[in-house]
Amino acid sequence: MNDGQNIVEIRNLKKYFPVKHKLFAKQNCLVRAVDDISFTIKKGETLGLVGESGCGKSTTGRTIVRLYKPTAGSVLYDGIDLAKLSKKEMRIMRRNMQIIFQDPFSSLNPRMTVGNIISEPFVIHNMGTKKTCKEHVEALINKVGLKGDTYYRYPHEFSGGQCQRLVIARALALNPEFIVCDEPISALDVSIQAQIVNLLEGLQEELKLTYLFIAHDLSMVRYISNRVAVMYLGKIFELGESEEIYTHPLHPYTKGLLSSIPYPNPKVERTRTRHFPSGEIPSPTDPPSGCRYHPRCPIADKKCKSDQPELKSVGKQHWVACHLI
Amino acid sequence: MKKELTTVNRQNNAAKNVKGILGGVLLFGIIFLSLIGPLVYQVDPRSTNLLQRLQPPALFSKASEHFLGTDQLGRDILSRLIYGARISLFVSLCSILIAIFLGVTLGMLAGYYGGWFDNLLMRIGDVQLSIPFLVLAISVIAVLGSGLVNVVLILGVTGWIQFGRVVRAETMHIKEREFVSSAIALGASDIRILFVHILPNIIPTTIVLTTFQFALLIIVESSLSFLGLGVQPPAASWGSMINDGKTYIQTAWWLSTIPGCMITLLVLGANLFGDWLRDRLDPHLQQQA
Repeated sequence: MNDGQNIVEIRNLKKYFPVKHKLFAKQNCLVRAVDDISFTIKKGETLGLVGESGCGKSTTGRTIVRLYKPTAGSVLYDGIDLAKLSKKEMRIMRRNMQIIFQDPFSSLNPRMTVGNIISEPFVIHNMGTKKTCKEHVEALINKVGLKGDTYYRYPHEFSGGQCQRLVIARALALNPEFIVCDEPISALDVSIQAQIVNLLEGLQEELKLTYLFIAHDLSMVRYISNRVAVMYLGKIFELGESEEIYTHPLHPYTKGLLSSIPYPNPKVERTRTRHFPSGEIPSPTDPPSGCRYHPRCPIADKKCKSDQPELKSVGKQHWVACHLI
Repeated sequence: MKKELTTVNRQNNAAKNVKGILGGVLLFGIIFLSLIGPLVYQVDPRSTNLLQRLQPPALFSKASEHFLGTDQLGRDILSRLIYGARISLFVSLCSILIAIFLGVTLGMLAGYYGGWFDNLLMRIGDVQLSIPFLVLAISVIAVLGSGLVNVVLILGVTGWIQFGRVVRAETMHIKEREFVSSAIALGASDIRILFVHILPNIIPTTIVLTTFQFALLIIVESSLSFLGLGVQPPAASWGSMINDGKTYIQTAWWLSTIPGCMITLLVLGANLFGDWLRDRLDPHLQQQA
């Protein structure tokens, strides 16, 4: 049960997408984007979720904030099962959890002024008068570091980094406790990435926020996260404290991922032992039997082909899903 | 990102806008003339004068008092043209409004919700498109009778599919964009999303489509009137004027040719203007995408 410490709890979450085949195909394919994952997110922490493109990280994020309905399993927010809420209750619950996306330009309606965009949460939930709304919006815009008269401008008048700040401002409008950040910096210039990440960190401290930080930039995730989960083809392979995972990765896939990060120091680069995952990532419609990683794993054996490994604890706050650890 | 006004740019800008200016002048000029025409040129289009029948246009005959000549009953052609313009434009405008209302509403709903509703609508549209329009129109008029209102209804109800398909495709594209997902995550209702987020973003495409459909409807209405299925005499639309003049085409060529030219100019104007509008709105759309 909820001990007050966990703000979000995922239990055996599955999300499958049916792929419509040709008209007379016997069977529809299922894209198993998220295939039975469980984890918790503690209040005030940043949980990083990493993995290759197509592993199901974004789907997980969107399913948590109920943009998708889970195929199976449950999402608990503050101990409350979101599936059991009525439409009205869900609407109120949405105030607590928000999501920010990768493309800042696509996240803002090009036909609305910035003021209207950021005051939309207030309008949807019937909060405040026109005047108080405007004041709140101006305060939010200042909080994310934008100055000047932005209220009556349109999104196309701003740069990517500024747009992403506006997206963050909108996400903060209803004072959420939990924000899913779905690759919020991938589309930005490197220098701007640092600014936005620092902004997110500052806001987390000030407003006591909890983040699920989804990304494929491993270095950035290490910088911002307290704990990290590594996903592959809809499964979680490793979960643990951020530094622990980066310094002592246990799962072969995690080792492979971290090997791929180039070191700026040529001496170290030359002397490193690196294990690259071999082959191509399989299709999520037809995942390998047993452990999903066995076709590419350097140490796979017979058991890995037949049995799926469960996440098991291997130390303080460190879980791995592998038969051979 | 200001563009420097070099000579080349200036020429490009002018060239790009010629279409819009020419189209706009033709389209809105004709509309304007049809509105103020009766105030300026006060000749009754219905007054017949059998002594003056089949007078050629003043340009071609020094004896004629009528600027564009008269028809077989002595009615002044210019005046009939102006009043006819009103009818043609009115019919097209009303039917396009019906088509837009039906097409945009149903298209948005089909694109947003998908499922059986989408399938049903698209199949109905396919059936409509598979029947040649004139065959459809003749059948409906045979049942409902001819006349202004019926023509407007037919054109509107059969025209919806053009808007419906485009709006449906646009909606399906827009609803995947992240500002719609953000609105859902904020708790917005479906109605709010349709009206505040999707509708304003399909308006540019709809406007461009309207100009092209408008031109098409002018031609269609003229065809119906030409066949005698549209507006009935003594009311004149350009199509019926062409019909009236067809027996005299060897001798009094101006009876059919002049309304025909007017239709051509109006349709040309609408198409040029629509082209220009689409070119102007497209880069904007791509910038914002």
